[in-house]
Order: sequence, then C-alpha cells, then structure tokens
Amino acid sequence: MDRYDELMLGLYQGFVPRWLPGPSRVLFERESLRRRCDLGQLLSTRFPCTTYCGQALIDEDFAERVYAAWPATRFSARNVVTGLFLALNEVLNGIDGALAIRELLQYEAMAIPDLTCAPSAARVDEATSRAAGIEGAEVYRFVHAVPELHARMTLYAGARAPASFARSYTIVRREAFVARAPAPDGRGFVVTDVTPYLPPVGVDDAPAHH
Amino acid sequence: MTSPSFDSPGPLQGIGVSATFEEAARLCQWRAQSQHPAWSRLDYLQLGIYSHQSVPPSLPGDLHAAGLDAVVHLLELNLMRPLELQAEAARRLVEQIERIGPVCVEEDLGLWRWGHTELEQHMLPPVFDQASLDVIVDNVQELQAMLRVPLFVENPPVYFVVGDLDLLTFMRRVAERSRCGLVLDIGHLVGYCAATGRDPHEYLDDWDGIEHVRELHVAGYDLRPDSAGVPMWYDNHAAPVSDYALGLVELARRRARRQLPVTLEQEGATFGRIASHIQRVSHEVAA
Repeated sequence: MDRYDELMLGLYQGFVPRWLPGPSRVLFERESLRRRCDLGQLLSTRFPCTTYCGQALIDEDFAERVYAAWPATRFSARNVVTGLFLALNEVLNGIDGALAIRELLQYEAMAIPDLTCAPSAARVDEATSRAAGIEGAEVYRFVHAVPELHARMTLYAGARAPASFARSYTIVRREAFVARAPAPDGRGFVVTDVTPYLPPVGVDDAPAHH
Repeated sequence: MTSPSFDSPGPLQGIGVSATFEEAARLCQWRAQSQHPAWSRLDYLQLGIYSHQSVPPSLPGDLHAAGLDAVVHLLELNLMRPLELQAEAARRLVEQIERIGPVCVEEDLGLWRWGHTELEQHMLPPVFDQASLDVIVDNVQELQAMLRVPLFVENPPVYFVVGDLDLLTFMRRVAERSRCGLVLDIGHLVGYCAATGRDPHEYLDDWDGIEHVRELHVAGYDLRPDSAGVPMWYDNHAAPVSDYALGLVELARRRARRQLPVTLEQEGATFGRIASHIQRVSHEVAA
C-alpha cells in the first residue's frame, strides 16, 4: 500500500491519514464527504430500491457501509458502478435476514447497462429456458416475489416515503423467474417477468421478512 | 534545462471539442457537410480512449474527409505510479493511438485506475512534492519514447491539496525535466485556486511556466459557497463556459504570446450549446 492507496481508503472510509498536514485535513474531510455523496447519487439512481430498503429496513446509515466496502471491490470491478454493486452485495450478504433485499439488488442490477459482471442470482440453465420457449435471454430464479417487491419499492423510493411504509410491506416468499435480453437498440437490457412460463422448483417455508 | 520547444507553435492549432467515437463520426459528417457555421470553425477533435476500447476502423477516414485533426486524451494511465506496473495498458494504448494517427497525446496527472477500477470523477490528483515529480518525469519520458507524436501533460482537477509544491510550479518542473508540453485546463486551475485561496488571474499572470503550454482546455464548472471557508468547486463540463474562464484563456494566450489552441470539453452538453461555445471562442477569443 502506498500513500495514494491510503488517501483513497481514507476518502471512502472516512478517516484522515495521520501523515496529512493540518491545513490539508479540513479539505480532505470535505472531499471525503463530497465523494461519498457522489457514490450516494449513483446508489440512488442505479439501485434506488435496494438503497431505499437498506436505509428503511436495515440501518439509516446503510449507505455508509456501502461506501466503506467500495474500495475492496477495486480488485474485481472495472468501473465505479460495478464496484458499488459488488459492495452492496457484500454488505447485504453479511446481514442475517437480508436475502430478499439482496434479491432485489440482483433484480435491479439486471437492467444496468454498464455493469461488467453478471447478477449473482441463480441462473436457470438454457435447456430449461428453451423448453419454456425463451430464447436469447438469461433467466434468473428468485425465491421471493421480486417483481412485486420492486414495483412497490419503486413507488416508495421515488416518493422518499417514510421508512414505516417499507416496514409495513410484507415481502412474499414465492418463486419468481425473470429474463433479461439485450435491448433492441443495443443499449442495456429488457427485463421481463417470465414466472408463468417456467416450471416451479419450489421454495422452503423459511420466513420471508427481513 | 531550457524548454525544448518554446519557439515552436506546437502541432495543434485552432479550436477543438472533446468527443466519443460515436460523436466523432457525427461531428465529422457535420463538418464535412458544413451543416452549421460552428462546425466549419472546428479544427480538431479530442478523443478520450481506454486500452480496452477498439478504435472504429472508419474513424481515420472520417477525420481525413472532414479535414479534422485528432488529439488523443488518455483516460487511465497513472502517471504518478511507475509505468512498468501499467505496461500492458500502455502498450495497448500506443496501438490505439497509432490507429487514430493524432497530432498529439495528452493525459492529466493523477490516479485514474485503482486496482481494476476506472475512477473517472473519483480520480486522485498527485501529491505535489519531489517524490511524485521524480516518478512522473520518468513516466513521461518513457511514454514520449513510445509515441511518435508529442505528449502533453495536463493539470488535473484538484479538490484538496497535499504536498509542499504549488500546482503551477509542479507543472513547470514536470515540463522542464521531462521536456514535454503542457495542457492548461482553465477549470481545473480555478478549482485549485478555490481550494488554496488563490486568485486565478493573479496566479496565472505570475506563472513563469506558461511558455511550456501547448493547449488550453475549457469547460463548465460550478463554484458554490461552503462553510469550510473556501468555496467548493465542481467540475461540471456540461455547464455553460463562463466569461471568467474565457478571460483566463485570453490571459494565457497573451502571456504565452501565441494563439494557443482551445479545446472545449463539453461532455454531456447539447450539440447546440457546444456549437454556440465554438462560435464564442472563435469570435471573442481567437479574434
């Protein structure tokens, strides 16, 4: 680790390197906040529902955990957005009972054009997809009713609704299959709920709520 | 050490705009067809490239047909870390550059790639001190030896300052020791001055390194009051170019005693805004 690594870690994890002289420290702290706000803007534009749920259901400072996790993604993420996706995934993975929100993240990630890695939802094999009449698309399986969850959280997140709205929503534990195919104009993906077309695998009776 | 090319006007002239490969194809077409008076005043395009990108095969022909020169702006080399650690990216970039055939190549000083991540607006400027200077000079000399065209080094965006040298002294030393030309980015200069409590006009007017400047960059930016005691500067390329920034362009040209080329870096702005800025620069500054 050189001094640039240390500066970068400090900027995103919210500490000032000890060797930084006094006059630089105030603006370094301000810059750290500015950069984390920039990441926050990306979170709320690319992953609005996941971010809203994280703040409403897990911790009002949820975003801060994601900023702190972002530097570690530099070894695998080609761009900042992919790094944020991996950081969100990592943070949610470490929280008991956050599986539904983690699935919501995968669902949101399916439509993001500049994500340079695949969503980490379970992928349905091509033979099964083809047998269901789905060609030219990746199909992912979820164990929660993610399209419905996403629709409701889109409403709440867009309205900056109180956290109580999210808390009062019952997440349904029910299998969902979602396909994504390249958009006709070549930019991004078209995401479609294909649940009715695929044979159910079945989900266990574990509690659905966060 | 003296400046290697003080008496040379540099390979670049006139007015240019930054463009993606896709935008470049369109601008070449508009320039060739003279669809708007502004496009006929355009002399070159600045093309930002990453090593993982492929240059469209039609690009050199489009540029030639439109009578436009090209400037390549590198977007990922970390000039403050040893180039040997980035050898593969540098090799691929040189291949891309040779396909484009630009008149010059440029890169801001900074950390642009961290691990595998392309940082873009999350880049980090160098620590302005002797240790950084030594690494940068070695890198610039090595890169110049790999390129068939001049390499210009640009002052980066700066939001906080670390190091015992001021920005323009640092840039002058880079130019003198590595014998390269400089790009002076007007917005970045304003941002640095905002962070350090300097007056941009006075700072530029006093700078004895202006002779090394071969190109000026102009873009929109925002300055907002802040409780930290110094205003907060935002690099907002799409915003309108201010009269103040154009005044600094005039000052730089006057002090350099030459019509330094001006590149409008207006990513995200509408073509209408870019066209009006080309006309402003050509009428008010180039006159």
